[in-house]
Amino acid sequence: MSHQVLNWQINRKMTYWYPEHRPRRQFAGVFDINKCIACQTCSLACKTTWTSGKGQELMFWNNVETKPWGGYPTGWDVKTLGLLGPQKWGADEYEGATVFEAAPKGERVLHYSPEDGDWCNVNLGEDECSGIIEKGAYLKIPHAVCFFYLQRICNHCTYPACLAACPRGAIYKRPEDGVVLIDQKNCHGHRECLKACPYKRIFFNVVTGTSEKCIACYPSLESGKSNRCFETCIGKIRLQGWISTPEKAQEDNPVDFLVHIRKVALPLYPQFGTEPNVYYIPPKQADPVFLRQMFGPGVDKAIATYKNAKNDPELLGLLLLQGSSDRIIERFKVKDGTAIGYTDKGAEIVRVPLKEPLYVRPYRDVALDVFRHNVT
Amino acid sequence: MQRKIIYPIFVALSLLWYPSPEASAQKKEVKILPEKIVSKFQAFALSLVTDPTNGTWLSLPASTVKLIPQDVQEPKLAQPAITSLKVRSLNNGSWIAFHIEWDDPTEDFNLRVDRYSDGVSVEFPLNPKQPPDHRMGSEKEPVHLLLWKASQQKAKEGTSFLALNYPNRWSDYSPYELPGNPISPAQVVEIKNLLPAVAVGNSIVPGTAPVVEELYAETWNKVTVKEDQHAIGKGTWKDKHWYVVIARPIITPDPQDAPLDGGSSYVSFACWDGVKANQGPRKMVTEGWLTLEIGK
Repeated sequence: MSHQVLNWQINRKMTYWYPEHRPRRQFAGVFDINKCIACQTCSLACKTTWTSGKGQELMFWNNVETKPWGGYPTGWDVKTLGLLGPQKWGADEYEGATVFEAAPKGERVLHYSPEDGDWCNVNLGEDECSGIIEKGAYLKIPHAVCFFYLQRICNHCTYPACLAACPRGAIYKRPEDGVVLIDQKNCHGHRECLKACPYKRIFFNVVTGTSEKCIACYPSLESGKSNRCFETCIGKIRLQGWISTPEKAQEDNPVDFLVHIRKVALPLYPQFGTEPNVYYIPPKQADPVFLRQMFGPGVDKAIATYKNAKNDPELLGLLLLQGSSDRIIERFKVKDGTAIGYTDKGAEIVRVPLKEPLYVRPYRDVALDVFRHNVT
Repeated sequence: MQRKIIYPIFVALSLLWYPSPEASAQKKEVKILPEKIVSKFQAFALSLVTDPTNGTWLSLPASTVKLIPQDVQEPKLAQPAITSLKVRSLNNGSWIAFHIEWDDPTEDFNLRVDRYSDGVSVEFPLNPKQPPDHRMGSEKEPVHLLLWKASQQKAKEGTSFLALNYPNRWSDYSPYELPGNPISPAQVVEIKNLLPAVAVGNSIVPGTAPVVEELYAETWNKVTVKEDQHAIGKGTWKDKHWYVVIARPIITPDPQDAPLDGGSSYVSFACWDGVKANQGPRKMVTEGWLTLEIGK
C-alpha cells in the first residue's frame, strides 16, 4: 500500500505507507556541529535518565559519533547508503529514490538488520580523522584531513520508516507534538522498526523483548522544558523548538529561522525520505563533498551563511541564545545588541548580549596586596 | 446542461471507487482446502499435552499440511522456510490437542537483536459458518490464534536471554540487586517500573505469557492478547525435529474463543523458522482453511 505525500526536504511528492498527516506542531532540534566537543554529557544525561535499566546496557538513545569513520551501530550510514546505491540530486529536487521508493517487492521499506556486535561498539572510531596527514600539510579551511562529531537522537521524522514498517501498528506519532513513540504495551518485538529506520535509532531490549527508542523527553516537552540532552549540553550546541513547513515559516521562530529563513541548518540524509526533524549546522572545516552526501546540496550556502554570522545580527543573536536556557525558546528577537528569547505567549525567558562586555581589572589587588592571575 | 448532469455522476462514481486505506491493504480471499484434520476422540490426561514425544502421539495417523510463504501482507516472506507440518489431533470431550511435528535442523529459541525464535500457531475462525480470510481474519471477522514460541517456553523454564547472550553485562540502576542484599516488595515494584514493557504488562516480555499464548485478530495490525488465557502446550526439539503440542478447552465461556462445540470448524497453521529470521508476518502459512472434524 502506498500513498503520495509531500516531502519538502526533497521538494517533491514521494510514496509512503500511510497518507500525509502532519501533527499540529512538530518537535524539532538544531545541532551546531561546529560547537560540539564530544564530551558525551548529552549521552550520559540521556542514559542516566532513560536507559539505565536491564537490557539497556549498551543502549544509547543519544550518542555522539566521530565522522567519517565512527558509527553506532557500526557502519549504519555506510550500509544504508550502500543499499540505496548511487542516487542523484537535481537542480530543484531530489531525483533519486527514497528508502520507501526503493523498497524491494514484498517490503515496506528498504532495510537492513544490524548484527548484535554492531551495537556493542558505542563510540567506535572516536577522534579518528579521515586520512593520514601528509608531510608539509598546513591548516586551511576546509581541512585537507578532518573529522567532526555527529550528535544523534531519534529524528522524530514526519514520515517515520519505523512507523511504516511496524506490522502491529504499535508505533505512533503524537498529533500534539510529532513525537514518535513505540507503544510498549502492544510492541510484539518483531524488530521490523529496527530494520527499517535508516538512522538506526531503534533499539532491542532482550529483557523486555520489545523495541525501545528516544521519547524526546516528552514529560519535559509537555511542560515547556528542554529535553535532557539539550539542557545538559555544555557546548550549547543544541536548540529545541517547533518547525513549520516552509510555506508557514515564521521569522521569529528560532527553528524556522535557522532552517527555512537563513537555511543554515539542514536535515541529515534527506535523501532517505523520512523528513527527519533534527537539523544540523554543518561543520565548516570538513570536506564539502562528504557533507553534500550527508546534508544535501544546501551545504555550501549554509556554511557561507554561517561564516557570515558576524555580519548578521539576527543569526548571531540566535546562535548565542542556543543553549542559554532550560526552557524551550519559541520566539526570539534581536534588538540593541541583545538577543531575547520568549515563550510562545511572549513571556521573556532569557536575554544574551551579542557582544560580551569586557571588564579589565588592575593587575594588583590593593586590598589583598596580591597580583591577579586573571584580569579580564 | 449535459455537463451539469455528468459531473455529479462522475464525482459519485469516483467516491464509490476510491478505496479506503484499510480496504486496499490486502486482497481478501477465503479459501477452503480439500484437506481435513480429524481430531480423534480418545480419553487422555492433560499430562500428555506436555509430553510431545510420547508414543501415544507418534502412533496416531498424521495429516501432512503444506505451507507456503506469507505473501499477502508486507513484510512478506521472501524465501520459503518450513514447507510442511505433520499434524495429529486428539480430543477427550473437554480438551482438543494438536500435535505438530516438523523437520528443523536448528533449535532456535534465543532472543537477541539478530536472533529469532522458532514457533508455530493454530488458528480458528470465530464464525465457523462463514470463515474469513485465514490470514489474520478481517474487520469484524475475527480469528482466534494459539501461538507457541520456543523463546517464550525457554523463558518460562528460567532462561534469561540477558545472561545467555551477555554473561558479563551489568546494569547499575538497581543497587537493590547487589549480591547478599535482600529486596523488599516495594523495591521489586520500583525495579519493575524501570522496564516500561514490564510495567504496562506486555505479554511479550519473556516469561510473562503462557507457553501457548491466545490472541484475537481482526486483521494484521489489529491483534490483541486475549484477556483470558486457557491454552496449554509444550514443544520439544529432538533429532532435528520439533514436536509441539497445543491444546485448548473445547467449550469456554469466553466470547473471544472460537467455538468448537459444533463438532466441526476450520483450522489453519503458521510456522516460523528462527534461523531464517522468520518473525511476525514473515512466516509460512497454509494456503487456506482446513476442515476440522472433532470426533465424538
